[in-house]
Amino acid sequence: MSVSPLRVENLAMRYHTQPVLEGVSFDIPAGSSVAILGPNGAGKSTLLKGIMGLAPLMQGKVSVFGGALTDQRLKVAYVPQRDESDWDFPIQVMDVVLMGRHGHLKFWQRPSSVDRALAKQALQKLDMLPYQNRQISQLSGGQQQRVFLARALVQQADLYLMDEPFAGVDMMTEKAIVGLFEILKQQQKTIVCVHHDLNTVAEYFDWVILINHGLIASGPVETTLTPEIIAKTYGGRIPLGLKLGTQRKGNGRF
Amino acid sequence: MADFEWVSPSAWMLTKAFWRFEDANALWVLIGSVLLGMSASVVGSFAVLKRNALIGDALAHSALPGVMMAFILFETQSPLVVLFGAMSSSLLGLFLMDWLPKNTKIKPDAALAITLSFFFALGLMALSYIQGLNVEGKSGLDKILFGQAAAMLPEDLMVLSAVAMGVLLLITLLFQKWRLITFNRQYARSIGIWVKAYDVLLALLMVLVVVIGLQIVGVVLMAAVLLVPVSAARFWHPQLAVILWVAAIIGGLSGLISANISYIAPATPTGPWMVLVLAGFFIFSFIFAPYQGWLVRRIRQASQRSPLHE
Repeated sequence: MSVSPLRVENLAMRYHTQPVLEGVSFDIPAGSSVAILGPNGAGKSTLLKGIMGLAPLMQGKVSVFGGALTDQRLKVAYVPQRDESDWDFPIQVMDVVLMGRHGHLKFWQRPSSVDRALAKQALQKLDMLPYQNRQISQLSGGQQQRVFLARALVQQADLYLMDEPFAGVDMMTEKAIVGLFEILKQQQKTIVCVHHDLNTVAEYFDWVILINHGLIASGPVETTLTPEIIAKTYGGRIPLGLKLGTQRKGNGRF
Repeated sequence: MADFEWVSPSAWMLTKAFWRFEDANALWVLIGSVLLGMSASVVGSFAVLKRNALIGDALAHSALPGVMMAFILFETQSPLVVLFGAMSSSLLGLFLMDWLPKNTKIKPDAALAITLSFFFALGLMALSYIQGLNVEGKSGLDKILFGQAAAMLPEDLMVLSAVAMGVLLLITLLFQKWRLITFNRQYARSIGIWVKAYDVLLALLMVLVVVIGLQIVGVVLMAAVLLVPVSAARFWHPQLAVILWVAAIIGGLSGLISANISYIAPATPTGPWMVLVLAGFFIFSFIFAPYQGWLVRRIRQASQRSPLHE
């Protein structure tokens, strides 16, 4: 049996003095695509930051591929939330994507032609190659998101952690992201996404983790994403925009 | 000569003398001013991009009491003593600006203003205390407020040039790291870059640049040399590497022109001249720069509109 790409044990986190997460434990299978679901402020992004070591853990343990993250950072690619970056920054698309090669370079090295070729391939996969010499300030929100995904892709990681990649993007981008998921799944990579749209969960993901300050459930979509568990996660309120039974383009699994 | 009748003959003579380097000091003043202008512009660029533009202003003001204390203790203005004094109180200011928001309810902008005014007031008090003392070698201490390039000694300028070149070299070497961190901090941390160390290093470079700039630009106007070049350079080009080069050229040219003026008019302080020269570059860039200058934008707008009228 292969080692779990991501295992979280009894994790607790705080924001200032406010407890955000408590007693969160889960384990995900290799090669799966995982959605982290929960209401606003439930601690989804915080959980991702805790896993990446970007926010302190009060308690608990995170292991990736059976070891500590700090020993194998290259195996894990993180896609931060789009609005956490400065999109007025004077830089071109290509240079942002090349940042993904940074971990593969020695301290004194600059990106080589091989790195550039990889970056072009990644942009191609996300339909962003024509934009390689654009300023990032000229991109739409969806295009910005695709640049971030291309950057994660050139890192050639085995586990991808993405913070709300589908938030506020256009249809083109949504399609491109789904295409990327398929490529990554073929390569047996594992994807973990903070997600907000319950309508698309069953279509895009095969595993779900539901949290609301604590873990509600973790398991395969088919057996885990039940109306009872959704109600428990969202405190009995059906989240805004969810049309039960009339999914936008889903396969009607719930 | 006829072309220059609008300049008083003596100013013209002095300029000629300056550029022939008849005074051995002149060459050093020139090199020092250019290197200072360049290094300050480049370090300042990162501060502006991090939206922390005013930190240089606070660091410069924080240096004043250190310089005065060092003089009171050692009764000398030798460059290393001045550098040491300025650096220690500037670093203390930096620490205070960092500590206050983390440990109290004071916000970063207020912490900056508090630090700046406390240290500056303390420095001014110490300066007037020294002026009342009966010690040798105190003349010229007040020049640190507004700068006096021409009055600097070769040993001051050698220290300054060495520090400035070191700063430029380090920025060139670590450019990619700082660009990554400034653009996307969390991502930089996620790939294992020790962000905190680079923050501290950049802050130290800022302190160094500010401290070596005191005698040329002065405490009060130091911030302009850090901020104006990059602000002007953004009108010229969309890419950071080019922006830094343009900023360095603008900063260097301003240093060069100000050093010249400091020789022609030794009675006026260099700092205000430097800022006026920078303002000239800024206004020129704002109007004529090829990327985002006013003229180019007007032309672009016009050419976009015209097809509709056809």
